[in-house]
Amino acid sequence: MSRSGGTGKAGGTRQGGRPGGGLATGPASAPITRRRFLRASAAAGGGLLIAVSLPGCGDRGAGDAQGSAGGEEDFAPNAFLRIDPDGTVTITVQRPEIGQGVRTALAMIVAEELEADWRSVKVEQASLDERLYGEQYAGGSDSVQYSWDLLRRAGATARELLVQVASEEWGVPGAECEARESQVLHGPSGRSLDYGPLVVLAARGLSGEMPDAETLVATEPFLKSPDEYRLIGQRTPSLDGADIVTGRIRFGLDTRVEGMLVATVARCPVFGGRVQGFDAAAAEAVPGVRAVVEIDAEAVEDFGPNNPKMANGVAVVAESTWAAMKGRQALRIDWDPGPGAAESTEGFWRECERLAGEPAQARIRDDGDFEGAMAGAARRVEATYRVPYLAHTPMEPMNAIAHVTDERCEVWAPCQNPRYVGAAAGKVTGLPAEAVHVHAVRSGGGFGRRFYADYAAEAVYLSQAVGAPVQVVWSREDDVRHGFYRPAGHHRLTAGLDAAGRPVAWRHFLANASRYAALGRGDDPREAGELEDFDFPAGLLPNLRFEYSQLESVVPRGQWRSVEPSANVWVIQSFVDELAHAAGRDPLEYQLDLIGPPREVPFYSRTYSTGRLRRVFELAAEKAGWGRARPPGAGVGIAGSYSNSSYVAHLVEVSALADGRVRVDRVVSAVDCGTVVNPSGAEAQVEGCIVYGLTAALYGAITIREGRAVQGNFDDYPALRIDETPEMEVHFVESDLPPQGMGEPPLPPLLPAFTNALFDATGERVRELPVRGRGRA
Amino acid sequence: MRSFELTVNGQRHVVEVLPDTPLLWVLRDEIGFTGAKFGCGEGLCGSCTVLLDGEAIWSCVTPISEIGDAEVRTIEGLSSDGSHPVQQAWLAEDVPQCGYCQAGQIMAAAALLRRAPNPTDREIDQAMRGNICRCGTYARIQRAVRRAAQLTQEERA
Repeated sequence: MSRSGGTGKAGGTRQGGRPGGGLATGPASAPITRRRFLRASAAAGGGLLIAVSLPGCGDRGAGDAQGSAGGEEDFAPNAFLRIDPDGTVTITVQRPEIGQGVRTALAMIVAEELEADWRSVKVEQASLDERLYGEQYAGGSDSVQYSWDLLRRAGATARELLVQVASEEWGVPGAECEARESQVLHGPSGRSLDYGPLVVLAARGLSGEMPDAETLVATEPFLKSPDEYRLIGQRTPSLDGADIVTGRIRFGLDTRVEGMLVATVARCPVFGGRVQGFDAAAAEAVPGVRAVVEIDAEAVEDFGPNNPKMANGVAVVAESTWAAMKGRQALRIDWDPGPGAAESTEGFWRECERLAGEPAQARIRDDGDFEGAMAGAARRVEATYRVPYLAHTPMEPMNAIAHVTDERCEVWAPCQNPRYVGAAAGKVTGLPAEAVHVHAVRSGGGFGRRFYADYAAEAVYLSQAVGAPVQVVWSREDDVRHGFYRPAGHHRLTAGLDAAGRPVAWRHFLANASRYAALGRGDDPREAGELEDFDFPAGLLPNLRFEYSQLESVVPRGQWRSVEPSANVWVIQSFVDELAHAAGRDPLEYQLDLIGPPREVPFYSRTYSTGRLRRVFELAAEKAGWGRARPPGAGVGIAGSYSNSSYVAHLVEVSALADGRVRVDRVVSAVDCGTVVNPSGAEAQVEGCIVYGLTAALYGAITIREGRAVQGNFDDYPALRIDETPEMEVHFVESDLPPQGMGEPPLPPLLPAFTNALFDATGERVRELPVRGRGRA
Repeated sequence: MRSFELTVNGQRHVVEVLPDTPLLWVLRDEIGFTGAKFGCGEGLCGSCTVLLDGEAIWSCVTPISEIGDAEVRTIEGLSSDGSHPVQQAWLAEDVPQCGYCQAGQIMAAAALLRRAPNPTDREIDQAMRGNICRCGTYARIQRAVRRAAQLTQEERA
């Protein structure tokens, strides 16, 4: 999910930025003299352990780029691989796997430059150790884009070591040797050595000593050019596929620890409420129940920015999951709901209306003369859009295991951000960071929900309370009712058109309770706002005004796949479509006119290319046949956006059915994400965003009544099913640029492309999500 | 607590549990087959799908007391080596993303192909619509089921 939640807007925002503002990639001219790049040491079993340290690479801050004289104590490796005598290459993946395919994609990047035979490649999941690995979160669609440079150079550096060992063994110049498919070849003599025997030789020569880097790597490693890629760009099935289809794979809930108990937690149904008192007798009488424990979150120190605590509640700890579930049902709890009980969705919208009628609290951007341009406009178009709170509902409900002793805390958590889990565990136990060990277990989906550590903190709290390893298991209802929701919002859009229908003035006003405010940055509405000064069409129109007002709310808010663009892009791209129709123009042409000629437009701390944005619109339109004749009841819509450094446009085709429902027939997508590392994985992310986006568009809404989330399971918070899935066709723009985000960028434009198609088919302009009564559920 | 005897993946097991314990938790907590997953607890998402005498059932809402002599098969027992046509087709289409729902999807597909070896697209959708995938692998599931049907036909031919 968004990396932005982690570090705040000042240090980087939702797209393009880096946590802490560090360097994304090392300068090619990084000082190399006396800098130790690679440490090779003998591994158990006779293989070779290779740790690569690359200045300014990966997730390290700029400070690391300034390599000082290379004493061993300065060696700070940030990429690891092991080559065994049998030739097996094991690559350590430092980012959690949540279904985004990062284990396969990151391994491919290393293997490409290492010239490893893909069949011999394995991956190992890194535990939390940011001293070693740098940032380890899965969020912001960052994993591939921020690992690319580091991992390529790591693979290449290791390859050059193997070539050197072979050339020394043969007594031939290294330049005459070539690595390929886990072998080093010497063309002139026809000799070859497999990586297996080579690492045995290398390990023997090293005797476990760290070699002098200058003899190993005299220059920056040579990197392949795109036309030399053998693996990158090839459809590569997931490395975990075989373990998944046989049921061997272990998710968080499948993890077992010796002596483990299972806990369920009854949390106060009203957000922010507390336990007043409880009767544990009936719960304790359930066979298998061991303990009933109150969780007093107020007594626990804050976990830190953007790392919210768990809710107050009462836990039942038992010998089995079923006993814990039955015990929880038998609990009698008096809740003190607190002031949150006054909150409701109706009240929220009333407050938004009120704020929309007043001067905005913050002006996010004000270009040109908005009022003057409106006064001179031939036509005024206004519309109000509303988006609801959304839960994430990954298929695997929240869970975690913790084992706390006096000296040590070990946590097994399916999580997106092991650092937050470690921080939470430290605060709950009072143990120092070095006593806390976090394993990032495979997650059954994340979508942003697992960026937070509340559920892991519960396991830690309970393990400490009962003195045994405890696995906390959430029900689906717990997941839906105790989420960190995508913020609801009320958007007011105003535009002035000239006589030719062209937009000459644009105002976007948003009122909501933002996730930033929920994370403690609510004092300044400018900082808390979820409308950004670079939102579309900033920089494209001369007279433009963005404004924001915020509400108070007890509803927990957080990052949800693609974060703010999930709402803003829907609103903006719907409104552009409305303007096109108001002007009597073709929506695609209108959109392209607004984007204008190819140029760079400021976007957060960087820029985006209007040329690349145009190109994805044009490609989707061309592939799907925009403008071709369609039967009555059929509709087509198009929308596109730039987010997480990638460009995506979708063209959606729908049919209005006789019973009022709508069928989504086909989605044609055009994507420019730079180099496509794994087309199968990248395409899967597009398909995933389409299904996730259609689910939100047709069904997604968490409503609040008396301070509680009303929905609870897949019956009242439905998910799109297989028989509602459209045909999907994904086209990637060919590119040699570095790879960019893919987990989120395809989501935002899907929603407006769909509702624009619905308008085309039915004449119904959707201004509030979800689209009521058009789905099957 | 009561004692129950049941056959899972061809092996007899005796478990001592509360009679209303869902089969899912018997498999996962008592016997140690974690392939079937907990997703909703209400028979709404299909993650817990296992075969009972070859028919797909939701093990999260099936109490152990209702199993009787029927034979239970989980993903771990679908084949000894991942060679079941559905498993092979799933790999060929690179279906899984997070993978959590896939055991349930695969078991539902295996049950479908057992009763309808050459299903129509509509039959595939009907049989698979009880299984939710939040990662959105549905299009690949459709392709994989068609491929598995083809593999089954080829094996028979």
